[in-house]
Amino acid sequence: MTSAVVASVRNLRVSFATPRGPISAVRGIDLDVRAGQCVAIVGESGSGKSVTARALTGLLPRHARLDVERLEISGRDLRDASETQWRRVRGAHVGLVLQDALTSLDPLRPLGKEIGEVLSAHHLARGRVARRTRILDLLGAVGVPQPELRAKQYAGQLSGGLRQRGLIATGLAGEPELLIADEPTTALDVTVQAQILDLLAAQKANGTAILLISHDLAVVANVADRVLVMREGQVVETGLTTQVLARPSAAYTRQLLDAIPTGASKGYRLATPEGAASPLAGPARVQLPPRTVHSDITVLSARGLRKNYQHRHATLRAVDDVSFHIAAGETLGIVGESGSGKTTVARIALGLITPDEGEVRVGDTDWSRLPESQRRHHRRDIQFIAQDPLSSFDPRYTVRQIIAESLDAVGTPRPQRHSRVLEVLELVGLGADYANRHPRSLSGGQRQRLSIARALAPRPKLVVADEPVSALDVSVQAQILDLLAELQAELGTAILFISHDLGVVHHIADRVLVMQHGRVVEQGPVDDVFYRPSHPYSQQLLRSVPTLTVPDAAHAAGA
Amino acid sequence: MATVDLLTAPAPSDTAGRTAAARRIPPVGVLVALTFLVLVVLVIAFPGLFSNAGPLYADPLHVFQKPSGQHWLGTDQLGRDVYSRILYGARYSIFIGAAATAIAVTVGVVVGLVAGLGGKITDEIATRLLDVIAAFPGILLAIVLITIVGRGIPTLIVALGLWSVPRYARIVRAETQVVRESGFVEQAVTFGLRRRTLIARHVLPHAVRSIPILATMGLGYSILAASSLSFLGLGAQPPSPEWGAMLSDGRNYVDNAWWISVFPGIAIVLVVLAVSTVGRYLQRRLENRDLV
Repeated sequence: MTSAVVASVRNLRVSFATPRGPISAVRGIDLDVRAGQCVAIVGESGSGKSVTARALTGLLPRHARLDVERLEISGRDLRDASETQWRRVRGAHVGLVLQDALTSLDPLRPLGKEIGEVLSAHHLARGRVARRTRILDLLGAVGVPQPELRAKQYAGQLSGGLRQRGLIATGLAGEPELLIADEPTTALDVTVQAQILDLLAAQKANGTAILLISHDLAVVANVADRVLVMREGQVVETGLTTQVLARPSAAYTRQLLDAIPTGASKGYRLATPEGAASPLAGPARVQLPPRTVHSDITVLSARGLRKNYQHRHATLRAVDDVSFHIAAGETLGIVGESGSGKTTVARIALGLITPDEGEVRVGDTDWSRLPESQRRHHRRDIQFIAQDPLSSFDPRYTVRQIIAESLDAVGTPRPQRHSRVLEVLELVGLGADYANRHPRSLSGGQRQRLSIARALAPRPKLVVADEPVSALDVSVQAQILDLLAELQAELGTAILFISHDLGVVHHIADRVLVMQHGRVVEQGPVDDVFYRPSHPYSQQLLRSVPTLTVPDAAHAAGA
Repeated sequence: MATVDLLTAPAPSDTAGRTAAARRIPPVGVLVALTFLVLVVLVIAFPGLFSNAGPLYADPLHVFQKPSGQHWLGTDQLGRDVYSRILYGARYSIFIGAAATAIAVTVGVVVGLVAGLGGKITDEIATRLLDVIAAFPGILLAIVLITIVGRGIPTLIVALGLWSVPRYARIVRAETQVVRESGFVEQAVTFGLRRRTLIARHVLPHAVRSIPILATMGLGYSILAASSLSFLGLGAQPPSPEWGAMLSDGRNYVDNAWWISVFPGIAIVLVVLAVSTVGRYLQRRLENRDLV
């Protein structure tokens, strides 16, 4: 590593002025990125990683205060740079790629024009022909097929992967020495994510310096040469990626690594308990309480489900011949990429959508064919945990009212209702103090705990959870997954667990269904499917998952 | 509220204190409007407290008297005291406006809810019906109805109410369609609530959120429309001291006795202004409520 330093930062501090006084978001970090090197900043929400990225592009909000000893990009001192100076640097020397390409690309401008904008801003590729050639070259370079066609299309007409590639093309258009990618793959399916990561690796090989911001250690593991782990505005650990992931020196890094659900963590707790004896001691995992699956009692069975949607004369097969059953106390996982039909299956199971064909049986009733006026009497047995808990709470309601309503619906008399509310609040680790709070004042993890409390209050036989942890930080996700596993062991509730995250499903599920284009391509016990996939699509899916190769080896060695 | 530049703002506690105070006490204009409305309510309830002349007492010896100590706002062509007629007339004008608004809100909420919750066909029928009503100029609709049913205050109220239905129904329909797709309604379905419980608890309260504000503004509008119809001779009939009818009466004498028509006009303007000032203030307050 003797290549030139492209970006150099010393003692970067950023604070925000608020009515309650200044809040410091970044508290003195040092950073060097060299040509052809990828440096990753990893951290959870609120760690200051995105603020750091913004500081390096001069895009801090107006009420932010920047205080830095050295801020150099391509040899330019940018400590007190004016907006005009920054404008000359952005695009030409620093390219920025943000998380959501749909909001970052102008919906009213074709992709080609968007790239042309960057070129004209920096007086590159002058002349119509030269510019057009350059745009098509760039699209080709980021792996967009049929660049002539795509250049004419608008953001809304492109798939998520193509949009992200297009956005990277705009970031690269000015041939910047430094490319900053803030969560570039977070909104993408795993197979597309793998392609985008390959693309970043290729750019690195071309000599571009890359600063990658991510919450996902596994994403970082495969691309980054160096990692900075941030927490509350400070770097808690920094070093070569292989070293940090294999032999983390900070307890927090260890904790983050342990929190990642995988096949190896199955049956163990993910969250590090408070005040645990030296977490650096290695993979001293705590076992989860054992569960009992009554495979002879079926709580829900689905047979030959089909659901089609008409879209502009074309028939979209959302669900195509799907059958499964869930036994008492069992966890059935459904994995698949966006558009695979997994959420539609969940909604059919919940009786929110009527299937075109097939039936869902709950106990002895064909529940999918009942009119709602009769179906509602069976609803206490199946409860729902949604991905975004906040939107699933009536904004006028307090925590107490939210839980009490699920009891009211099943006819629990008022006095018992009250004690049950406090009981389930205790169960999910919130406690009675929360009863009169409004969900808006709760954190993401607390909201999901509330959602779990509400689902469990009427003592259901089955809980349908649609992406219940995908909006959470990894350490909060770990707590919620631990909680679900504990409660399941205690209460014997079956769970239908839907997720796009294969690691999460591997960790929590007993059996799994892999869905693609509305069909179940493979199903079976989760270890069989994930360790020995037989269908080509499952194989591709599992190959695409970025893995923490290094620490996994350490786990194996330690075990 | 004006944006506060956080960098130049004074000490944080100061800023917080001022905004909290600003939130509690309404601006002066709103206070004036509120006081005025309280007075209007008193006038409606006890007009006799403010005037001892009867609104219908005609004094042929004192016609077309200028405003004076005796007759504050003068007398009309029959020698009736304009001041006391305006006081007693508040009843008619404001009652007509309020009753029409009440009809409009009730019918509007029901139609909006049915359209928002019903299937495609129900929605289509309701929406087209609302379009038809809204396409009529309000006065024309009232004239048609009055021609069919006959003159009188009840007809006037129904006509005005009917004409305002789309204002409320459209808002409620749109809100209902948003709320019915929301996460918490779906969640409530999975609890197994009765449909009517679900609608009453989770749909209706959200769908009617903006109705109180719209209604205060609509009230001002209805008073104005009622007065216009009375002016045309289609509303309250003589000798009722309805403000619009008084304006209409005074029209013939505006050259030599301007006070007969000008003062009822001012009364209409003041009430409408006050109601909509309070309405707008409530709207701002309620809209910001969720952000605080």
